[in-house]
Order: sequence, then structure tokens, then C-alpha cells
Amino acid sequence: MGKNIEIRGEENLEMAGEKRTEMSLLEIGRQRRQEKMQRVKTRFSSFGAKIKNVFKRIVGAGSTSLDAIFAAPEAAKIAGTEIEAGGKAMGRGVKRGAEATAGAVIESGKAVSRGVKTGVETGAGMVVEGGIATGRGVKKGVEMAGAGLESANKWTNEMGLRADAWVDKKYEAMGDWTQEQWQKIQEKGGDIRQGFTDGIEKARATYKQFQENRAEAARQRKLANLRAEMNQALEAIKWNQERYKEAEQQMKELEGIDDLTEELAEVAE
Amino acid sequence: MDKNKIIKLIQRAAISSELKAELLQIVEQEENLGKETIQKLQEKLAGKADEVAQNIADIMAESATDKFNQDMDSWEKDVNDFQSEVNKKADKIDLEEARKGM
Repeated sequence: MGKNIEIRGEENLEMAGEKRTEMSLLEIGRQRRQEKMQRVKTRFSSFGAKIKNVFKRIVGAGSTSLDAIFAAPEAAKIAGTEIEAGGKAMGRGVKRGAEATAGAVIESGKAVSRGVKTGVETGAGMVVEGGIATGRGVKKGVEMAGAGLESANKWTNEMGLRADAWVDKKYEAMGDWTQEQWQKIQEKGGDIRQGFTDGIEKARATYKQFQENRAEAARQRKLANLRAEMNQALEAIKWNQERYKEAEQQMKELEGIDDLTEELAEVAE
Repeated sequence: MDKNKIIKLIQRAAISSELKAELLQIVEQEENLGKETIQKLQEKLAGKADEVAQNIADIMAESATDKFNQDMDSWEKDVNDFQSEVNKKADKIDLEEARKGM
């Protein structure tokens, strides 16, 4: 489309140079239209750049806060992992400590029983019992600490999953909406551009048809069909009163030229 | 060939006064009016018809251009609305909301 317009522009410039004296008024109008179309083309491309920038900004703004949200469950996960690892290390430490204590107590119980070779059996027995009870108590404490850590980990994971689901839902909703809107805008832009191209193409086709048929049509008085077609095209631009009046006046001029051509042919016969 | 008749035809033709003047000048310049004169006038008219037809095509193109501009205005508004809506949505979805959702 763009190329076609430019080609026309060159033709017109050529004509402006050659026929300025006899076609000045028409040429001025034509050049004015060429400039107007050039401005529109520029506007379309600069607008395209603007949309690109708008979209860049939109994507930028969207991703900043979305990143923050995605970072939240991620941080929770990392914290959870750290808590878990810490818990495990702590559990291992407590267990080792408890085992060591139990071992020491048992060892000391044995040492006491060994030391007191002639000691009372019940005395040794009590020491052993005491060692076992301590061991049990320590073991129980380790189990409780382990269960507490496990439930803390569960909670952290649960929160992480919930945050993930929530963010996914939000992101999905926003993504769908954005895509839908953007598609609408793109479609509208395409329609506008197509409409413009169609309008220009129609004008070119009308003129080409006129040029191809003019000689024969003037002779055979068959311009009526062509005129009807052009009038139909003019109906399409009726919304623009100023343009319509101008075109209508030009159509009358064309008809006057056609009539006079025929009248002169009759005189010549 | 009747010079006056030809002049009359030109004068009452439904054409612009500029074109009339150009045609009358051709007639006035001819010493002997004949078929060649008529041919000259018809050639002039044919050239003019081409110009006028192209002018009509140009007007059609200009109209398409005007309409294009108008459509662009409404399109631009759509894009601006879209931009502001998306920005609003993006603002809403921030870390505070994420925490609230959790």
C-alpha cells in the first residue's frame, strides 16, 4: 500500500512540474492530498511505536509486582528448607547429646557398680534404673522436638503452596485479560489499516478503469455505467460532506466534458 | 463549419469557466475551422477528463485518509484506556496483596 501511494506521489510531482500552468488548481489540491496522506502514514507508524512502548511499560509494570509475589512463596520455601535443615541438625544434636548422656549415665552406673564391687545389688540396680529413666526422658524430649519441627515444616510448606495457588490464579486472570484486550486492540488496528488500504485501492481502481475505458466510452456514449460505479463509490464517502461536495462537482464537470465532446463530434459529422 | 455554433456549444457547456476559456482560445486561434479544430478541442477535453477523473480518485483517497485519521483517534483512546487499566491491575497485585492472600 505504502509503495503505491509513493508511486502516485512521484507521478503527481512530475505532473506538477510539466503542467503547472494549465493545472495549477487541481495540482495544488492533489499535492495537498499527498501531503495529508503522508502525514497519516507517519502517524500510523509513530502510533505503532507508541503502542510498542505502551506495551513495554505494561509488561514492565506487571512483571515488577508479579516478581515480588513469586518471590514471596519462594522465600517461604527457602525459609522452610532452612528450618527443616536446622531442625534436623538440632534433632541430630539432641539425639547425639541424649545418647551420649545415656551412655555416660550407663557408663557411670557400670563404673559405680564396678567400683562398689561389694556394693549392694539394689544400689547398683537403682543406679542402672536411674540411667535408663534418664535415657528414656532424653529420648522422649528428642521425639517431641522432632514432632514440633515436623509440624512447623508442614505449616511452612502449606503456606507456600497456598501462596503459589493464589498467585497462579491472579496471574492467570490478569494474563487472560491482558491478552484479550491486546488482541482486541490489534484487531481494531488491523481493521483500520485494511479499511484505509481498501479505500485507496478502490480510488486507484476507479481511476484506472476510467482511463482504460475513457476513449471508447466517450465515443460510444457508454460512460453511464462507469459514472454509476463512481457515484456508488462517492456514496461511500458521503459522510464527509466537504469531500463529497467537491467530488460531486468534479463528477458534474466530467459529465459536462463528456456532453461537449459528443456535441462537437456531431458538429464535425 | 460554423464558428459561432461551436463557440455557443462551448459557452453553454456544463464545464468550468477555465476550461471554457481554454477551448475558446483554441477556436479563436484557428484561421480555418475544420475537423482538425474539432479534434484539437476533443483532445483537450479528453486530457481534461483524465485530470478530473484522477482528481475524483484523489478525493476518494483523501476521504479514506480522513476516515483513517478518525479511526485512529478512537483506536488511540482504546490503547490509552488499556494501558491505564493494566497499570491499575499491576499496581493492585503487589506484595501486600500477596501476603493478604496467604
